[in-house]
Amino acid sequence: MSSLQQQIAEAFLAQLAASKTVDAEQIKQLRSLLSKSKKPKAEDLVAIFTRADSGNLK
Amino acid sequence: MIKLETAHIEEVRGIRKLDIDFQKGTFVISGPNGSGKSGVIDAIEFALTGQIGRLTGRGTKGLSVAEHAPHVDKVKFPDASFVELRVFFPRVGKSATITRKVSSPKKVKVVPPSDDINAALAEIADHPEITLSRREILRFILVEPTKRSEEIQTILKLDDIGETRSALNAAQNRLQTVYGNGKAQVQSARSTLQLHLQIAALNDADLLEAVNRRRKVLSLPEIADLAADTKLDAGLSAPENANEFNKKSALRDLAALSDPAKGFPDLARKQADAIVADLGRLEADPALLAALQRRALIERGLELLDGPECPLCDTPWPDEHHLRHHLKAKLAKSEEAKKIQQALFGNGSAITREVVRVIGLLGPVQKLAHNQGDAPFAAILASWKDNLESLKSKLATVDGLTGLKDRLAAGWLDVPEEFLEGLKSLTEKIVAKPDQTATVDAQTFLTTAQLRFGDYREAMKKSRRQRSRGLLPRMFTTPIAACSNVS
Repeated sequence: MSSLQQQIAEAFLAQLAASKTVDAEQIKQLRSLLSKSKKPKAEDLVAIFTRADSGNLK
Repeated sequence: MIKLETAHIEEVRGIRKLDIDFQKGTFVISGPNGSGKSGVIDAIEFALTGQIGRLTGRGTKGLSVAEHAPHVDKVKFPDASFVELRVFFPRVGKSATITRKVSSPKKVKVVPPSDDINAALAEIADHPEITLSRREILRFILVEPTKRSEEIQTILKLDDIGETRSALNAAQNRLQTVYGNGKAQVQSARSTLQLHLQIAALNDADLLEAVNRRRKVLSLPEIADLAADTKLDAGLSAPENANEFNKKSALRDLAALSDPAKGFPDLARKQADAIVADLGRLEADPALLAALQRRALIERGLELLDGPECPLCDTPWPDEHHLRHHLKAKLAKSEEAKKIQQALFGNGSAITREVVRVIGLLGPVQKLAHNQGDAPFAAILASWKDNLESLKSKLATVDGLTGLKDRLAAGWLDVPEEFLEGLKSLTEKIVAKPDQTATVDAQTFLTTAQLRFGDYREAMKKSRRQRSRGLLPRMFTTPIAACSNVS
């Protein structure tokens, strides 16, 4: 069993995955960020959720 | 769950030498203040985890296991300070003796050696919440209800989660601002396109109906479906050089600007007045102003915090944890300033949305003036647009709003004196032009439609990028709430 903090982070990531509004790559990056000993910064979070592509627009 | 059988404590905290037989049962220790009751808890926690919770967290500045775990007479001889526990692990059905010295807290001796028991100890070390100090219980009871969740977070040793949540909230605020501006720009580009197409709602069917009606006049094939690369003016000869002037559309653009222009003096007046009033309050109360300015500084400091050195003044702290709590305590003291800050930014955002809308209305008319040879009026509009663009960034900061106080009081839109006259003159010039033939009208309609459709697509693309950022706060709402529930 992992620490309470890790359990919360896992629950959070599971909710994101279930929401299906975040792609797998973003969740992977977020998981990596949250697992680092260094605390996440707002800039780091913004960078993860800023995608280079913008999808197809009719 | 583990069960303690015996404990031997030597030279730890206030204890010189102590043996206790727990008999795997519930154990109560009583005694007068200062007799060392909490020292027993500290010693057990130390033996199990190598840490002493009471020496970390709020109010423990300058305390450490190395210096404060040994008995006061043995500070210079930490090798003499140790704890030996006999522990029963029901899950693996084994007992073992665990010994840990203050001189090397990360090293634990387990007899007999057992991987299962080492794994169990590693799991215990991952759960610092196993000990609950009297101080934490008292603080939880005494704290005001609104701050009780923070105390629970402290009791459960969830400080890292709290800091992650702070980063999420900071990201949320930043992204919402960007996302809101992007939405306003899409709305502006959509309105301009709809105005030209003369359709009430922007959807594929209505757009294609308006476009195909003109294409039919020009004997061009109909566009059946909109795709990512659809050109509304496809088939027109050299469309890039075609005349973009469409008289009917130009008159609609002029009307779209001149109609709301009557209300420009009062545009977002309520929000501007509210900002001026809040700025007045700050001027009248230097302490409140200082608190608000400090908030911005401290918030930035918390974002930059990465180690035990203060990012604002370079002062060294015992550890990052203490420094973070110190900065948070300072923030908590300025709740009134926070309310004013939120009101200022809320009203600033409302004005920003109006700025984007006005810029959207000015764009087509500026282009029209330029194409019609009215260079002075085009220059006035270009200058005004630049002025409004620079206004947007100032509306997003306290310093920017403070610098705008006089302008907000006098009329933030800063309408150029020559604007109404220039608009009237340009309108008269366009009205006086001969009506276009059906063919020219259809050609220019399609050319302009394609240009505005392109602008709308660009705005949408940009907004999607911002929305992908903007999704962050919405998705985090539940997890943040989940963290709140846990904490």
